[in-house]
Amino acid sequence: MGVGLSYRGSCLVAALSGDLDVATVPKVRRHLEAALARPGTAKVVLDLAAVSFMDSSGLGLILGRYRELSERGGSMAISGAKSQVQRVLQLSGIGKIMPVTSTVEDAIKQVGGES
Amino acid sequence: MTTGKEAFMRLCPYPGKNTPVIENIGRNWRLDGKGILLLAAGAFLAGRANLLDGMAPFGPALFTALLSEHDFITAMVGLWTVIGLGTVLGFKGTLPYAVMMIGIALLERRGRAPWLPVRQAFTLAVGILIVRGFVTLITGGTAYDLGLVMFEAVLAAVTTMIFSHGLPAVLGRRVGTVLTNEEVISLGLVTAVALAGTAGLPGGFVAPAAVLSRYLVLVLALVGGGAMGAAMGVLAATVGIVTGFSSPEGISILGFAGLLAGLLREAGKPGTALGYFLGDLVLTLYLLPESLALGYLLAPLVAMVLFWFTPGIWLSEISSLVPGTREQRVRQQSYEGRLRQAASERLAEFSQIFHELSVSFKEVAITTKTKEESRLNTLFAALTAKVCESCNLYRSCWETDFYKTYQSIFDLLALAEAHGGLVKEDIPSGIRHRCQHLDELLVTINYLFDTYRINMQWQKRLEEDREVVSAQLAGIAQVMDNLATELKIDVKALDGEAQIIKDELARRQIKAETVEVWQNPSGQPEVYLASLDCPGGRECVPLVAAILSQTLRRPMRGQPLSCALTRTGQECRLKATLASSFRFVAAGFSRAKKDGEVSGDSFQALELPDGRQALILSDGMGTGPKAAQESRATVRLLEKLLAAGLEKDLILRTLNSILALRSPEERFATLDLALLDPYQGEVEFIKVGSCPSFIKRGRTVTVINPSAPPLGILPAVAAAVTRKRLRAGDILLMVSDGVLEARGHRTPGLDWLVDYLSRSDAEPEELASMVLDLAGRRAGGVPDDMTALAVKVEHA
Repeated sequence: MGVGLSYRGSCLVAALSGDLDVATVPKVRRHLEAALARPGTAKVVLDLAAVSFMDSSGLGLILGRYRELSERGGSMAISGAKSQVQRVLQLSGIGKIMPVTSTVEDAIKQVGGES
Repeated sequence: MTTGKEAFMRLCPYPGKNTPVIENIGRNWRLDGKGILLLAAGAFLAGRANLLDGMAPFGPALFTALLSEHDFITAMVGLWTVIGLGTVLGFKGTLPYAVMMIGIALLERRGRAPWLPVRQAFTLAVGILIVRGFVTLITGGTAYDLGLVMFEAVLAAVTTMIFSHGLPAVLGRRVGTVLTNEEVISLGLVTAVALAGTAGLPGGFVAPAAVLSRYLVLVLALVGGGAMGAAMGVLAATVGIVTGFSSPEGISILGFAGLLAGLLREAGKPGTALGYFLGDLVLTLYLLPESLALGYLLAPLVAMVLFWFTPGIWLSEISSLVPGTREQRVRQQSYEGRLRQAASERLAEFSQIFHELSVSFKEVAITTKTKEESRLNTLFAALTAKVCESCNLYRSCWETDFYKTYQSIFDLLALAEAHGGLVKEDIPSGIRHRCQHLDELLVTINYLFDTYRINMQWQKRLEEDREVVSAQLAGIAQVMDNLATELKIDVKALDGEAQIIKDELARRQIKAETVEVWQNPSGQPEVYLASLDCPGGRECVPLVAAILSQTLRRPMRGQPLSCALTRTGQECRLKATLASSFRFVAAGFSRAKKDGEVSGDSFQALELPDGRQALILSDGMGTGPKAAQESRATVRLLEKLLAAGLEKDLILRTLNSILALRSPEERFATLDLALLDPYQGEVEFIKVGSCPSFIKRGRTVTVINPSAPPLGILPAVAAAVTRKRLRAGDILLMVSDGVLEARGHRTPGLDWLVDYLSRSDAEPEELASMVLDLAGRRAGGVPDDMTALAVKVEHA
C-alpha cells in the first residue's frame, strides 16, 4: 500500500496504490491526515487508479476525510477508480456527495483547482 | 446477528385462505313470535291512530315503511293496519285507505335503491292526495277539507321516513346498542303513535290509553330519571289531547308526576310508583277537583300494578337504550376504555424509544472534561518548559529580557495559529538572532500546535454531538407533546360502521355486546367485538369475518382473542383486521467471513402496526464482533422506531445521529430496508449505503440499484427510495456486499447473480442458501460476511 502526495496548484492530489482494506487503512489515514493538516489544504483529489481492492473500511476512510474537509469548507473528489473499487463506490452511493471522475484532471476541475 | 449458517424465519402471517363469503345478507328480519306479535299490535294501533276524526295517515305510513320487507311481514302489517283503520273509520272510511295501500304495494314493493324510503314516502303522499282528494271531492268537501288532505299527505310522508329510520330500533335490530339522538326521536314518535292508537279502545271500566300513557311515564321515570319521566308525561298527555282521551291539564299532571317519579327512582320501583302517585294525586286535586273520583284513580292504579309486575330484565333493556342512564354509561365506559388502551399502547411504544436512546448514550463514554483555559497561555507554558528551561540563556531571556522574550514568543504562537504551523522564514529576525535552539523551538511549536489543533477538533466534535443529542431529545419531546392530537388522528373510531355491523350481526342472530370500529394510522379498519352470543365454536370467526367483509366492503379476517367456549367464565372477544391479498414467505442465511466468528451482518423481519412487513438487513463495517455490534444496534433501533410508526425520514435522521455518536471513529452501518405491503402488493426499498436488490418475475430480473451514503458518518442522511408493484410468484432477493464481492474475479459485477436468478426455480430458503454458495465459489472462499434474504410473494 502506498500513498503518493503531490500538489497541482492549491489542490492536493493523493495517489493511493495497492489494497485499501482493514489492514492498510490506518497507515493511509495517518498519511492523509498529516497532508490535510497542512495549512491551506482545502481541495483534495483522491486518485484511486492504482488501488486494486477496497472494502468498507476504505470507504470509511474516504467518508471520514470528506467529513473533515467539508467541515472546514473544503471539497473533495475521487478519480480513476477501477472495477471492484468503482463498484464499491457505486454501491455506497458516494457519488451523491462528491464527484467521481475517471481522470485526475477532471477531478481537479471538479473541486475547483487549476490543472 | 447470526453465526455460521443459519436460517432465520418464515413469514407466514396469514395461514389459510380467506373465509368464504356468506350469500344473501339482505334486509330481511328474523322475527320470533314475540316480534311478530309486537309488529301486529303496532300495525293495529297505528291504523287506529287518527286526528280530527278521520285523518289516519299513520297506519298506511307504517305499511309503506315496511314494504321492502319479507312478504309475510308486509301482508301481516297491511292486514292489521286495515283492521285498525276499520275499528275507527268504519268500512266506508277504510276503503279509500285500503285501495291506496294496495296500489302503493304494487308500485313500490321492490327495490334496494338508497333513496327508496324517500321514494316510498313520496308515493304515499301522492296516493293520499289522489285517493283521499277524490273521495273528498265526490262527497262534496270544501276547500278546507282539501287543505286537510294536503296536510295529511305531508304528514304521511314525514311519518313514513321517520318510521323507516326508527323501526329497526323498535323491532330489536339494535338490541343492546346505544341509540343515536335521531333514533330516540323516532322511538318517541312510534310510542306516541302507538299511544294514540289506543285512544278509544274499549277497556270496560278503565281506558287502555289512560293506563298505557301512565305506564310509560312510570317506566321512563324509572330508567331515565326526572327529566325523562317529565318528557314522557308531556308527550303522552299531548297525544291524549289530540286524540281526545286527555284534557289540557293532563300535560301538567303527567309531566309533574313523571318528574316526581323520576326524582324518587333511587328507591327503585316503590319509590318511582310513590312519586308518580303523589304527583298525579296532588295536581289532579288542584287542577281538576271535579273529576277526582274513584273511577279516575283507577287508570293510575292499574298502570302502577302493571309497572310493578314488569320484569326487571325488560326495564334494563330499555334502560340501555336511553341516553344518560347508568347502563348506557357502562357501555360508553367500555368504549372509552378501549380509547385509553390505544393511547397507552402508543405511549409505551414511545417510551421504548426513549429507553433505547438512553442505552445508546450510556455506551458513549464521555470521560474527558475540557476546561475553559486561555488557549495560547497553555501552549506558552508547555513551550518554555520543553525548550527554554534547559537552555543556558534561560536567565538572560526570561529574567533580564523577560518582556521582550514573552512578546516575541507570543507573536510566534499567534502566527502559528493564523497559519496553522510555522516554517523557518516565518520567525522574526529578533528571535532568529537571539535563540540558540531555533530548530528545536520550531519543531516544538509545530508539534504543540498540532496537538492543540487536534484537541480543538475533538472539542468541536463533542460540542456538535451534544447539540445533536439535545436536538434529538427536543424533537422527541415534541412528538410526545403532539401525542394527544396525533391520537385523535391516528386512532379514529368509526361509529357509523360499528352500528351497521351490529345490525348485520343481530340479523344473523349473533348478538354482540360491544362492536367498535377503529381506523389505524394507515387508514385501515380494525374491528373489536366483545361478548358475542354466537352459534358456538370457532365457526363464529369465519361467519363474523364474512359479515364484516360485506359491511365494510373490504376483505376482513377474524382473529379470536378469547372464547367463552374454550374456558368458562371467559369473555368472548374477537378482533378483525383487513385481510391481506398477499402473503410473504421469507428465508435468509448469513455466513461469517471466519469460521466460528459472528457475522457482521444483522437482519430481522417484523410486522408493522399498519400490517406491512419489514425486512431489515444491515452490514456493519468490517467483520467480527464490532461490526456485528454496529449492525445489530442499527437493526434493533430501527425495529423500535418502525414499531412506533414513526415517519421514514425521522427514523433515518435519528439512526444517523445515534450511530454517529456511538462510535466517533470512521465507523458506519449500511441499511437495506424493504417494506412489503400485503394489501396493495407493493414493496418499498429504502437503501442507505446498501447493495442492490433483485426482483425476479418469471425469467426476468429487475435490479433495484440506487443507494445513498451509509449511516453514522456524515451529518446529513439521504435515503434512496424505490417503489415497485409485486405480483404473486415474484421473488425478492436482498444481499449484503460480501455476496457481490469477488476479489480478483475476471467478471465482476452483478451479471452472474442476475443470470442465476433468471434461471432458478428455487423456493426462498434454497435460493438464499444457493446464492451464498455461488458467491463463495466465485470468490474462492468467504471474502467478507455474506447474507442473502429471499422473499416469495404468494396469494393470501
